[in-house]
Amino acid sequence: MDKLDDREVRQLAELAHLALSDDERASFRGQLEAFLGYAERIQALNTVGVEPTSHALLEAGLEGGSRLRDDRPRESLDRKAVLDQAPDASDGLFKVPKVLP
Amino acid sequence: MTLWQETVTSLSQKLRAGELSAAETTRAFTERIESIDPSLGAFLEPMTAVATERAQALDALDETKRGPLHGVPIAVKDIISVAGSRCTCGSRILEHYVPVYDATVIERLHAAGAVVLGKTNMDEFAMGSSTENSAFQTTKNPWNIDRVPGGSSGGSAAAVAARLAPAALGTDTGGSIRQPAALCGVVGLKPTYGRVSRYGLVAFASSLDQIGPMCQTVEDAALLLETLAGDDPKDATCATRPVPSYSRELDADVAKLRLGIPKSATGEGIDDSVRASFDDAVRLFESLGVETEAIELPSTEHAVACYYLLATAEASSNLARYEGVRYGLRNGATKALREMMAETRAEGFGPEVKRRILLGTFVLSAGYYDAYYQKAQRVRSLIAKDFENAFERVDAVLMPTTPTPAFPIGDKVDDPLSMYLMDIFTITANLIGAPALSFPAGFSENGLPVGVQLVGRHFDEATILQLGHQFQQSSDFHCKAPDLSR
Repeated sequence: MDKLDDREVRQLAELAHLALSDDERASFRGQLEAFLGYAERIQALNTVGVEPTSHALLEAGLEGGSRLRDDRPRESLDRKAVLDQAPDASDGLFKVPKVLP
Repeated sequence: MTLWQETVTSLSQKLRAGELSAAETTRAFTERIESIDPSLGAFLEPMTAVATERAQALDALDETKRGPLHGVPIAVKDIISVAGSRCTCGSRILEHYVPVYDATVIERLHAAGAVVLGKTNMDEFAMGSSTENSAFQTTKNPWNIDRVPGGSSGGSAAAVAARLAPAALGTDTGGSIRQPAALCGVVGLKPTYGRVSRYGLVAFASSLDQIGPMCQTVEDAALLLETLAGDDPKDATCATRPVPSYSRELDADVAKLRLGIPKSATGEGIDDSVRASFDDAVRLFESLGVETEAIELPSTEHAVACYYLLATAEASSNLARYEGVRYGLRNGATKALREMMAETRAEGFGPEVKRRILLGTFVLSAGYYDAYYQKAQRVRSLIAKDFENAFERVDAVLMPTTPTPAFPIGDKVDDPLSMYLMDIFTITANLIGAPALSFPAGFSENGLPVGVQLVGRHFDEATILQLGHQFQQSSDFHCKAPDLSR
């Protein structure tokens, strides 16, 4: 793993929708490097022919994973109660600021 | 024995028999929270009024309608939805969020007659091993208030240790039930992945998260798991297989069971007190007729790296939902949409959450996905294979829960990697999806609790509960409580 530079941290923050200060970026950069340096050890493990696991029980041959249910209308959460939790809502919809600057 | 010292099993028997009323039981705990919790900070939001009202309603119930947990008060980690009560996840971004529905585990507790006492403190979005990452308060370890209670379910562990609640719900993604349970001297059970419904649990890393009980005894953990476990159509990852009567099987013969002792369990970086308690635990199990056998888990030395690559990747995706639109905080409302989102998240998330979102974003980004994310998924398979091999020869694996007892508050906050390494023994059970039970097994020289854990085969909670219960029948570490008069 090469060193992370500020441009890369800036790009990660942008992808993650996080507004970070210069100080935050600098400190996260050092901490990410430290962890990635530590994590480098897994590169030495031979994983040729080893399948990736995304669901522990499926890999173990046990039940799990997505189950499908019948596609039938059923009662849902109350719309008003849900919208009451939103920072802004109107006419039964979530309201967002203008999309274009 | 005063009421607040009682276990769930004992309280539930007395409550069902009518020897205690639900109202007096709830009052004993709410009064204790009021007098003691200001010095510990275990609860974010006591629910005294709601709990009192519910207890009174339970007392009015017909005797024949009393459930298995009739009138038993239970604390709930603030990442599990209780309709009408705030669910902050220890985060500013959800400071004022009030769920409109109950999590399935809450529905089940209610159906069994339990009373929700309040919501407990935690590391923000369950990311941390000390509860210091809570945006609201620092929870102290009841055994020594200068020490952390562990995390992320530190509020739940401290509440049970201080007897502010006979039991609590926690969640465990990389050890967040077992590690604080060990550091606070209580019992903590992470069930098999899929054993307990996660509907209404705020997601952190969905291939790893599980809800489980924290309590004084293994017997209580068995009783609580019976209530919590079982199929739920609202959680597609929830297992459909039937739930055994764990509490009725606790006295099954454990002699001749085989216990695996990993060679890494007493290796480098492990505190002497942990090593001593672990060795004593091995001998105690042997005295019960359990056969022990040294095993190798060669890939587990990579578990911390593997876990933090995968858990942060999943978290960066799960936490994308906090964008100031559907619930929670909004900051920069006068700006354009994308800026509003970035400023909301900058304001609402604490440093550890930001760090993990950035790391997860890195792990999943083009150019690094194969080298980190997919590599870690393959390492996860190797770790699972290690345990699969071990479980061909042994019925359960015994390990320390943590490498050290509780560390001082402030000790590791500026060194994320050293904090992550606290999870070395707990994260393997999450990576492989297996059940794991931590219980008290000794004390350090300066009086801090030490825990050990049993990892079982998938869906074989019964065996580790039997082993843990019979350990407790032959030891009294779990009977000791911290002296809170200091």
